[in-house]
Amino acid sequence: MSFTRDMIETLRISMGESKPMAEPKPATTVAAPPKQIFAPQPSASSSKFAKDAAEHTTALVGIGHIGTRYATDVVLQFQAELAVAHEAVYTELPESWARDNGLLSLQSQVSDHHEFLLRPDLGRRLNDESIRALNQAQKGIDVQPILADGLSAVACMQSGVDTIRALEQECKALGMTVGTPMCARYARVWLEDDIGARVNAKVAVIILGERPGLGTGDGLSAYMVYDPKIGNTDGNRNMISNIHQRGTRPPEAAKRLAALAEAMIQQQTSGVNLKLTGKLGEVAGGGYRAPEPRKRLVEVNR
Amino acid sequence: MRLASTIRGVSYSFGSIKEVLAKANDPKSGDDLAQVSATSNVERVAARAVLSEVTMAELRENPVVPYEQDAITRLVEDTLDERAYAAVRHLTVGDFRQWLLATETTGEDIRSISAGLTPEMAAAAAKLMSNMDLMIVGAKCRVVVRANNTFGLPGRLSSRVQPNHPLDNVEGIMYSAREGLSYGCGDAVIGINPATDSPASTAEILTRLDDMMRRNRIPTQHCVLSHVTVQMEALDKLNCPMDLMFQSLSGTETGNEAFGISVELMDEAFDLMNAKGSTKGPNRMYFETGQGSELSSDAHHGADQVTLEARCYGFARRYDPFLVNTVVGFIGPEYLENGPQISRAALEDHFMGKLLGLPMGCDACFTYHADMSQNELESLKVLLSSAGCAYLMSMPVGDDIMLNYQSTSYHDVPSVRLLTDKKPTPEFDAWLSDRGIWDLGQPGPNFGRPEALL
Amino acid sequence: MILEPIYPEVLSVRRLYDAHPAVLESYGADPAKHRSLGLITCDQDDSTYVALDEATKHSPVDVVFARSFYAGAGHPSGRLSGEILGVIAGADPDEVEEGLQAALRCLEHDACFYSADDSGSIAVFPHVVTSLGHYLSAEAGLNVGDSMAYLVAPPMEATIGFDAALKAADVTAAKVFTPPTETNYAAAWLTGDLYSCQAAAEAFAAAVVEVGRIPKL
Repeated sequence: MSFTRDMIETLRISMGESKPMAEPKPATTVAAPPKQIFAPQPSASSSKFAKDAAEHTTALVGIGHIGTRYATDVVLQFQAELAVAHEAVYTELPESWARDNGLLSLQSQVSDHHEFLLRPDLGRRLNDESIRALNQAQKGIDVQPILADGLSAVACMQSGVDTIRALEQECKALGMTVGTPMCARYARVWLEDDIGARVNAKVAVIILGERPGLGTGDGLSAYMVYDPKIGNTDGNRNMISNIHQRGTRPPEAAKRLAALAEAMIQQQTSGVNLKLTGKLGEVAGGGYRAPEPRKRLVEVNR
Repeated sequence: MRLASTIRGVSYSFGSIKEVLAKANDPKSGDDLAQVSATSNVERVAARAVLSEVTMAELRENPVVPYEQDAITRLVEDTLDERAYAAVRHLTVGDFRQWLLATETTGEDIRSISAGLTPEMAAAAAKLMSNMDLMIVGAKCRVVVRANNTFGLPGRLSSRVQPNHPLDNVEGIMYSAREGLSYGCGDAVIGINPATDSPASTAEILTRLDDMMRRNRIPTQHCVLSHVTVQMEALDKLNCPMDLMFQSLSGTETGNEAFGISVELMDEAFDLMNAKGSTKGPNRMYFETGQGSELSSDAHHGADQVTLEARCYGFARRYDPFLVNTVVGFIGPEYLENGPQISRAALEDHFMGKLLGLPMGCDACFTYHADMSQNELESLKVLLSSAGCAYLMSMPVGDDIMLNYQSTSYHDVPSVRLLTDKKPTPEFDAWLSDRGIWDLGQPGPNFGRPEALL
Repeated sequence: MILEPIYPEVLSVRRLYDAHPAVLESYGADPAKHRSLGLITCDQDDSTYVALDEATKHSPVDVVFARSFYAGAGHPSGRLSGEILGVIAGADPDEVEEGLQAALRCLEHDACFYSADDSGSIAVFPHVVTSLGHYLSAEAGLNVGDSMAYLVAPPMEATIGFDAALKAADVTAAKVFTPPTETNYAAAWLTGDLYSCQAAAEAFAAAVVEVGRIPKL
């Protein structure tokens, strides 16, 4: 590579040198280690910010940083929450659960959980057995409440019964007739159209498990549609989400849903065309409520 | 038009351009659901071979939803730039791919013909490209826009701060926003998805954000992502500050109906924003898209989700937007089943958006019922940044407590910037340096200290 | 060991991409032509002169300033001073960067001193420049592309070495720097075809080693 270095290499040998030339200094030298290294801690000052924020939100703020990444305990908490969410996804509603809770048991055309995740079209239609089961249900009612697993059977099993019973009461209190309470397995939102049309309800409400969030699988969403029938789309529906302890509690949700049902029957429409004014506007808004603290999932016992 | 090819002596023939486009896709659970996928890997390649010989003119003449049936097809066809189209009409898709990849073809060259491309042309090119092809071309493209700051310059990676709250508690939103800003996030927009879609709530959140941005003199934009009609009412009747106006878009007329919008409505929204929006502009709109939305409302007309996604961009470019991003893993595993499918879709969407002239970003994310790990998702963000993706989202630990999905975290944004040597927008970069948050490409003394912001 | 390499250490490398005109002028650059400067300090001056010349072969930069420091690297003014400051100037940062990289490559892989005895207290520079760049050719009054034997050693060893080199090959003396140079050495630039320069350099190196072995003869 270098004329001169090659030249000198040869010259040395002719002058009696037997050893090869030493390599240049290595590009990197390894420094001597310190006596002891100390692990950095995330800055303590953020913890006041975290405390203040926790009075208003469960978002993971004020957690500090190590470099541009998280501290180890944050990583563990996050991974625990992710594991909980994934577990909630894969929990299935037991076959007997609906009956055990006094609800008419229905199932979509889906036959297993993997199919449920990939075939929303099948989740929107009842299977033959369920169609026959509907013969026992009341027909021609104002509101048909439907509970379902949706994407979180855990949520359905936790707050589902409270929510659907509260909804029944609130609707009756407003003078509306309510159909046979039912619970559907492997259900997608639009299943309410199939069910609602078959029982000839004015309004169908499906309350089903929301996609699990981090550390939680217990949120329900409620979707309502006026004049349920095959062919309705999302534009025809109104929705209340985050029905759980840290969001909208079941009794409040039930009041709002009942008010929406009443408005739908009065206006004879739902979805983007429904006017959310007056009493509905108040009901639709939130009020201030301090959030429940995020659960700490990981403790190490040493 | 004969659409056939032979592989290892076996002949494959296809009935239409729409079918060729669909079968040329990488495997996607959404295409399976729509029953438009190739039935085998060999048929997939046979379709790609046929596609490589289709000309751009043939693609223009065969949109996947006929002109008479669809407003999006009509608006694309009626406003296509004929001069730019004339430059490409003779090319086969295979030739076009090669032109895009050639060293001599620069971002400016690509931009000069963007307005002559239909969405079907962009999608066709994507189907012949591997992930790395998509990244290389994506990284070349240059789309620069302006609102309160200059966005989309090369060597930059920006982010949206997304401080959502399940009850729209404004204090909670502000805490989260300050956290994001302290990590160097937020130069694309501070954008909130409201739990309640009402004009009053939209106006309240925008007003509070505007106050915070003025107090701290932050050069960025704000946006509340309620339905466009709600934002229009907030802007027109309540006269709140509004830097960007948002809407989700679909690739067919019926798909957009399911979103509660039409071309006429969006034109109205655009005019209103140009009259009353609070930035100097000229770019004022923000759109989100995602493969699979058309199928989810049965509005796909038998077409594949990649082509339909490209048509969203054909719609979006009508309004010269400031921001467009795909929300790639949000729609669910029924459309994109797992990590590899989500990653592939992200790179496809970014490429097609850039090719069609949009300042394209990506919400690299998954829902908890999709089969994707956090590790795969982190890798995707690095790939996107390398590909020149204009922006990512950001929120505390990537956990959206309102929408319940896993996206990019406040910490990820500076991490990806370090890994791929990218900077925020120039105005925001200067502000970060001024505040001691990010200086000369490294965390400053106020990095991760949200209490330093007012 | 015989003729063991003593590798140069680059102490400091800096760029002034947009140098002030007064700085440009005082360091020998032309503000009308030059905008950017690249600066190197090193603990071996002669290796650095060769490296600066090498820079001019890879980039259209000029070597505007290169001076050795008195008493050499053993008595530096500070830990970054070494025994030389070399400055290249270019019209833009890219040119300067190319030039600096070429110089640094040369210092890592090519130019260096050698130890003429086991104690390491006699250093010899028996360097062959195979093809002169714009800087050294001008300094030596030779042509770009000519070969040159650049020979340096302490006073006694160098003088005996110059005599041996000139007699061993078909070379002429372009310049001789009698001792003491700033660093208290002596230097000579001899030119001829490449093989003659090689023979001259070899003879020089061998002679310096021999004086080290037999100081009194």
